[in-house]
Amino acid sequence: MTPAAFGGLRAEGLALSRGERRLFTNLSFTLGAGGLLRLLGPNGSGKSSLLRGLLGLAPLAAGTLFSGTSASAPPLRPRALCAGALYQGHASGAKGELTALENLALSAALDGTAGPADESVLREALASVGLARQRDIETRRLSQGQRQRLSLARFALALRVPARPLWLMDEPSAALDAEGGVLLARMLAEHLARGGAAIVATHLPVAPDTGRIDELRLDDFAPRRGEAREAQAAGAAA
Amino acid sequence: MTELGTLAWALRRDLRLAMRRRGDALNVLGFFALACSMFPLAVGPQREWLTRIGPGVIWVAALLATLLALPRLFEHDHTDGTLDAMIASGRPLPMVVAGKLIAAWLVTGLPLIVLTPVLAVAFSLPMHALPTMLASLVLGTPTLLGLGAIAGALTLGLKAGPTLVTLLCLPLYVPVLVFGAGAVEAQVSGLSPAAHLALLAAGMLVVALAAPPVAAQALRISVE
Amino acid sequence: MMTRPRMNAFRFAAPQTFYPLAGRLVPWFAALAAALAAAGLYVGFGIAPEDFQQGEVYRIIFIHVPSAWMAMFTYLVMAGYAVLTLGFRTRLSAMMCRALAPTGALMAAISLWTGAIWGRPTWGTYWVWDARLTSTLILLFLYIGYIALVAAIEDEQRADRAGALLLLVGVVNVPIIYFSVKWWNTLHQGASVSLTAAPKMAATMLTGMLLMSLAAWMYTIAASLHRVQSIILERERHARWVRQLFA
Repeated sequence: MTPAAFGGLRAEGLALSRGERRLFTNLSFTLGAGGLLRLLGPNGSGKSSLLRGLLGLAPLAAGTLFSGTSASAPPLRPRALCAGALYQGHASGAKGELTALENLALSAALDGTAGPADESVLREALASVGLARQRDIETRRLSQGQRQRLSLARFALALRVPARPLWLMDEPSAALDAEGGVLLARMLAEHLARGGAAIVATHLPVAPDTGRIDELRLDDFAPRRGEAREAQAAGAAA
Repeated sequence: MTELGTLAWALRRDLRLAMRRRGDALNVLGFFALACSMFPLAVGPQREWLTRIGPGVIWVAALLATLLALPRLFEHDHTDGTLDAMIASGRPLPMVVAGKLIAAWLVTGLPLIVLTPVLAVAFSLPMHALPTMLASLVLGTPTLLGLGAIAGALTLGLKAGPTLVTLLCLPLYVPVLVFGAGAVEAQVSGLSPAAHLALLAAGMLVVALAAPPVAAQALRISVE
Repeated sequence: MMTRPRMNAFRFAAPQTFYPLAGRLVPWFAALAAALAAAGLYVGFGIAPEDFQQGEVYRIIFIHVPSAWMAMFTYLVMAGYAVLTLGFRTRLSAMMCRALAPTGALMAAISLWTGAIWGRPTWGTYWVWDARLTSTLILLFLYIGYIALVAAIEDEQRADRAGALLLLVGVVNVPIIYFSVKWWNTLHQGASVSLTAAPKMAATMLTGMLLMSLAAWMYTIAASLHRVQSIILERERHARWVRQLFA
């Protein structure tokens, strides 16, 4: 196991709007090495948006991110988290016309977790998520659950290198069967034990055996009725 | 992975994807040939007339065929989430765009240029003007793709996407068309096309340098 | 990231403070526009001498040229606001872009239409592909493209920023487009007659054009300020100050 060097993350006063609606305001959290932050909340409460906002894919209306858990940690520039993070969004993140192996090779090269010549490593990763026989099948022919496992293979590769210690996962257990769920839990546990960290948006239980689990209910940070409109009108910029 | 490494990654990826979807490239070529063929059918087959309009027709058809290739550039990546993955990876996005543009030119622009001599014969273009015709397309098509990439990135995911891309691109395409077709017509009438080609080359350099970062910024705006 | 709103000049960058200011300014600019237009039309149609070649028809130049200039100038101003929108994420600058666009497009359209009116009796045709008319036509397409793009994007912030980027790309290209169209026009000299080959300008004619240009400018400011008020109300409709206005 290679140690993952996650330096810690602190968020203060985050706020984000989607279109006209202010999803959450004044949201803060701390995440240290070996920690798992579960994002809970009903559909539409902003779990996906928060993940995207942390990476700079969606604009934060307010708040600051700091590159450490202590009070003296320096603030992060926008998009600074990207280089050390591995993000899995709702969509599969794979090209339908390419085989599972080809897609994994592309992702691995992009993530910096495996080189194009490391074919045996890629096969091993596919095998570890139970896709050994689907290796050369076009991804569009795979089932939803199999595609989800392909996404997990990306994270399996990331366990080998220290490059991306922060995992951001949006509903990773959706479409997974019981076996897949166990696999996900095991991978998360291993990642956290190495000193990595993860922020996982899910409304299903994800229970790794080790690591500190914090929960963040996003609807606790939803603005109250009158506040929502005020915040949005006064918010963003001048 | 270095900056050039990111470009190479995107280039190899898009080339491989194009090979799996060979139909797309054939579509563009087919449109190019068909669009050119419409004109003799519409205006009559008299040679002098066709020679007169030939350079312009070929250029306009190449321009419109390039527009066909634009929606493919980012839309698929947007719908299957790979665009988000590319942005979230922290790799330099302009390099990804540059790689995709080079791949798009190899798959779309180059075949157009290869087919051009055949169409030049169909329009009885004087043979001494053919090199200029090809040179103008070689210098012009990358500019068309670069500008089109910006328009495609701005209209990502919109229902009216393709129509809007055309509307946004055509005003910007006017200089390329003027100098491109103008170069060939100059050559045909015995004048030197050097100035036209030089301007096309300058445009291509500027767009080659500016389009990737601008399109990358447009992608970030569209994905927000 | 939220920046603390600074005092003094930046205070008016907030839609809430700009709204009443715009309301107070509109009547003044409208009055100026009317006065300047009256003076300009008087000079153009009343005082300036008849042209011995073209007769009375040429007088349409007093509308044709100022509107073309205004269409161009408005696009530049929009591009300026686009820089603010992209650089500082200010909402009001994006609203000003949206407010200016229809008036700019209208100016371009008026220029084209008056060009056609001029062309018909003078050269027997409603349209000639001369350099300025063609450039103005392309400018009109740039305006339409901007308006269409902003209308097609539902998310307001994305629409603001996408439109701003489009404007910046457009403004860089406009001189290139003008240059290429001029080149194209001189190449194909025989095919078209130029509307820019205007009769020699007497001093009175220049005065008339200047007055009409200023009038067009004042009108554009008045119309855009009025329009931006509607845009502000629509965008800020959830804010308390708006609801209090209509309470």
